[in-house]
Amino acid sequence: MGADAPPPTRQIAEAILLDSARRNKLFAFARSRFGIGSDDAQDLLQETALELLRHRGYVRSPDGFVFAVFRARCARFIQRSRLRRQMFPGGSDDAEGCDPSLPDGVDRQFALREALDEISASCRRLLAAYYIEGRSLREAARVVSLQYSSVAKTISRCLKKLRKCFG
Amino acid sequence: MTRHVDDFVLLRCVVGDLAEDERASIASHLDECPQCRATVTSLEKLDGGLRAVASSGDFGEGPTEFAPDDPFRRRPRLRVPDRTRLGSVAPSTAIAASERGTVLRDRILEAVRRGAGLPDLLLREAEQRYALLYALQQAGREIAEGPVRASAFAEAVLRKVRSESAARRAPEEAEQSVPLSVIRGQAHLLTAMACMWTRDFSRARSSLVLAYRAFARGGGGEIDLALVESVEAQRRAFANEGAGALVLARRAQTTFEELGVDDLAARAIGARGLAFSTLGREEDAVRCFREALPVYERHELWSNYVGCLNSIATSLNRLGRVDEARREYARALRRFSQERHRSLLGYLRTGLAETLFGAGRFSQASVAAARAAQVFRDAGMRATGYIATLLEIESRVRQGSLDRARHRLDLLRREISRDPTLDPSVIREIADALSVADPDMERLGTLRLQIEELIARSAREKTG
Repeated sequence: MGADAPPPTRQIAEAILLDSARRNKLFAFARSRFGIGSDDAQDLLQETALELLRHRGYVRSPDGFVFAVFRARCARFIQRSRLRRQMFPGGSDDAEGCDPSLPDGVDRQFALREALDEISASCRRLLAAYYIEGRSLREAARVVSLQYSSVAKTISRCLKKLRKCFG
Repeated sequence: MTRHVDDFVLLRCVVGDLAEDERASIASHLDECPQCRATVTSLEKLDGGLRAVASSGDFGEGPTEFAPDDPFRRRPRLRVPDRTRLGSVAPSTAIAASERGTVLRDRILEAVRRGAGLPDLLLREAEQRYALLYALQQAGREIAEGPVRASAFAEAVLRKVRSESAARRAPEEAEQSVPLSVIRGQAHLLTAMACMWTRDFSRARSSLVLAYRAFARGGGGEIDLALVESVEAQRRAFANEGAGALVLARRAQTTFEELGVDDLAARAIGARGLAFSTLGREEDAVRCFREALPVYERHELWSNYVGCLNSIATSLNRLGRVDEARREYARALRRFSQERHRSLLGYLRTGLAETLFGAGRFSQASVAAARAAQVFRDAGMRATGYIATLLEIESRVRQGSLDRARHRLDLLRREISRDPTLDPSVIREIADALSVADPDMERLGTLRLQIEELIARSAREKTG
């Protein structure tokens, strides 16, 4: 087998047709991290399985791929549920039993990354100037605008948004 | 109590970015205001989160501008599948269909390689869709071996998908397993990859936009979008749009790393290297290329390997470290065998010759180019061989061996007279340039590049 060879079907199948212990582990993860019930988790796992089959030629570690894709799909599912709640308050929610509180650890970072996409370019640029380029926040504010006072209001609004998403 | 402090000032307080008097005034406000204290707690958490995100590079590379209507400005949200339709494809059924698809994929690729065209497929069946998708993905991995053929294959698939979508509604099992839009996205991506090889960057760009949309709207995954971004990052680097290229390459790299696909992550890292090089940050570029190179070797991705090594050499050359570049090539040449990696050796020797030429070491460059040309001739790769020979001729002229250059040109002319690929008038122009005692070097260099362009154009015309 060449170094670039994808994993054999047996390994793919094992990653998809999970034994009940591993399946339950994933469902528990979906519930504890995202508040997703087992019916929805079942559907998300099935979507993940189909995605693995479509990309089997690229995948090197089927188990790792299944976990990463499942986690991303859970996050997207929750985000869509929240959006629906915002659009139709009091209406039915397709994430039944979904805990609206935000998950911990890595998935909060996922939510934060998504939220960073939503804020204004100038705010993102300011944060990058501070967190990546190592400038002080006051200097960073100058990167996006000449007037500190004019930029502070916009940035404060963005920070509020980010705090909401990050919990 | 004074009014609440805004978030930005509180964040500055959290990170210790306030002057002493400002800090004291905020501290006394916080003593009295539980709401602002809660905001501070929340900002402390956010600060930790932003540091973690920054370390993964998701802010992008500093202040980068994407035009507001740039389709790559933000990764599109993937469409969530219609949940009422889920549940009808049992995993075991899908695995069986995929397995049959891998067998059929080899038949499709065999037919394409023979030039027999696309076999008659029934895209109403999941296994045939899997087969077509896998064949497109494999053709992408083998793009260096035949970009023209790959482009024709992608075109045929797009025609097939168009006629299929117009004809009838697909059965749910097939559409859930492999949506037609995913096949369409993969075909556009393959077209773009082929165009990158034939240097048709404008068509590559439009195909990448189409691929991005098809994957986002029709059931693709994050990995599909990252693949498109990785190729678009390379295209932007070639188009001198380094800042945007850097953001896209980083975005793709994060996804590939999260999914544990290190060979694709290496390609994204390579694209970052190209972007750094475009921005004149050659040290950063070398670091990226050196990170990607061993991954290409481990996965035996030879066309990526050669491209990456050439990029290391180009950057080292720009930094004035020619001998280091030479040693990189020497190490690589020792590693590969004449039998198994013949064309690879040709490309490595060409890269070495170009590096030496660029550094003004014309005598060594002519020897390396002559060896490269010989390797390509032995491998039956005529067009690539011509380019190496032209480099040899120009190196000989620059080193002052005009007679040897003319002799080599005569041999080349005889070869080319039997080959319709090239317009003989360009070769006549080179002969004219060499006929004088003191050849115009600039003109000679331009003619060599012109011939390279002619060969690339001839390949483009074949892709339609």
